Amino acid sequence: MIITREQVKKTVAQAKLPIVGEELNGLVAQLQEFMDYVDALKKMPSVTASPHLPSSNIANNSDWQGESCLSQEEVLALAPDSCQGMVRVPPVIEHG
Amino acid sequence: MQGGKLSATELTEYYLERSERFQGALNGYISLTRDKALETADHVDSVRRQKGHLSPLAGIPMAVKDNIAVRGVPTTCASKVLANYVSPYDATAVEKLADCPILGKANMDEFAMGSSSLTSAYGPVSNPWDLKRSPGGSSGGSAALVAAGCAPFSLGTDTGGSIRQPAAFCGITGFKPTYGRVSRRGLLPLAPSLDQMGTLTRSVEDAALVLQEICGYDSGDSTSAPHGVPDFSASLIDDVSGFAIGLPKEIMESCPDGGTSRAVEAAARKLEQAGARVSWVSMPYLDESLAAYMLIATAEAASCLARYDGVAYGYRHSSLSLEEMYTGSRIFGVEVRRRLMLGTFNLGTDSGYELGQQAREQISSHLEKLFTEIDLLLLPAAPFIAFPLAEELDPLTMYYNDVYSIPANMAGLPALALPCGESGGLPVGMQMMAPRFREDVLLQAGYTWQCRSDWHLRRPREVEL
Repeated sequence: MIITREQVKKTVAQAKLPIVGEELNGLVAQLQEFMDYVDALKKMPSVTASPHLPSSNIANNSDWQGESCLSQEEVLALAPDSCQGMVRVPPVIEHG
Repeated sequence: MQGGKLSATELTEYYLERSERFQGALNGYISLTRDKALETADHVDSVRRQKGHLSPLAGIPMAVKDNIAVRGVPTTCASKVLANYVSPYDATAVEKLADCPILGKANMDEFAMGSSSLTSAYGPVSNPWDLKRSPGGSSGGSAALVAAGCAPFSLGTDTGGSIRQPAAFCGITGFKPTYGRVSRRGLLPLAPSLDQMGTLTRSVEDAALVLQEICGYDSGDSTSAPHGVPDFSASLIDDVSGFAIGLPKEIMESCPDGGTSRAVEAAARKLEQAGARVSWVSMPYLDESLAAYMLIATAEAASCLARYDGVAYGYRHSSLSLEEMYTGSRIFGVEVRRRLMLGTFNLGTDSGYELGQQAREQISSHLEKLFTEIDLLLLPAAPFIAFPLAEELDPLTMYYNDVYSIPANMAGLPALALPCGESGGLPVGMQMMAPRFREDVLLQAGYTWQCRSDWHLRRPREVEL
């Protein structure tokens, strides 16, 4: 896979990181080196696996039981304001 | 203390004084918590005078890595992003050690991303064996403080080797328990499927004492294992007769530091003389393990650290625009930015994380098969000895520091790092890995080793009294 500067710029925006200029240029080469390195994995004997955690005897994930609680409608009725099924809250930042 | 010859306050004062004296040289702490430590010590002394109930380690001071929550104390993860964050609660492991005075929060790599403790926003940590060298990382502060005698023990975390590599660099004992054995509640995550809390101590005996207190099921951690905790002190037996020990041939033949491989092989022969059966085994996929680790760890880190955007936690950048506030608040250091970029990029590809998990399955399955033939694996804790602080290592070389420790995290295995020699005048650490939940095997083999060697008793010259 060839990494382009545009792809890196897009990733910077997705990660919401303040990266510009020289650091961004350097990351193009570093991402390329990293992706070349992890390509080695494609040569491993293939296995079918689903993402899992190494602790197979995990109890907390399986024995959790939902408890009765307020319905979405009841919660929204209690909220000062709502919009499209969600609670509307005051803006964190007022746009100037 | 139980005999009344020493009070918890006197012991805590001793370690606080020593910690303060060497803070300039080591930079082992991000914050020292003198008042809190003395308050706990005073409470312990008072309960002891009244013959009240105290936990076995009551009054023994400790240092806590700064990515573990301690109530009322800054928990910064060595990052400017969390410079003003004060935890409202104690991590479960800290709760379980409530009678242990907390000397301070130990320095580390920023958000535990590193193997050098150079990426801390609060300055690098020095190795007490040579102040111009790294103590390893990411639990570099935790390791340096124990090695320098500034703390009797410390808590650390290990995602890819972050307890074992610094323990090796500093000549102490580092224990990463089985994934799920110690609650991760209150551990600020780097990569939740790999992170594990553990201990840094001077000896295996001390490790057993601390592990006894912090292990156990916790409903506050969805990955906590419901296994009972055995009596670890029962494993402190000087006997390895009948133990089958595997030495990975590929690693022993290719270890970049000859002094390290020689010291580990000599340790294997000594354990053989003590009654163990030592044989060569194959441990392939080391490079693949590192590559898979990087895919998984960076992807999980990118997801976990997305929360630091100025809204709920940490630093908030003043801005008129919401997007600028998000971006301006993410004032991470260079290494964290690099890993977040790798992780975000990898999450944006079709198969990155899945490819990593498939490789992880393969590596775990190989180790599982290996443990049907042997009781434990013996290998170097790290491919290098402590490197100079001034040395500029490229990122992939730095990640290579964890190549021997990562397989234990990938498979969720317990692993123990022990001092076993020296190379170029610096400590060398060996590592033992065992099947999941077989901490007892590691404690028995490690204890036997320390009964027959004195590497764990040696002290660094740089911090002599």
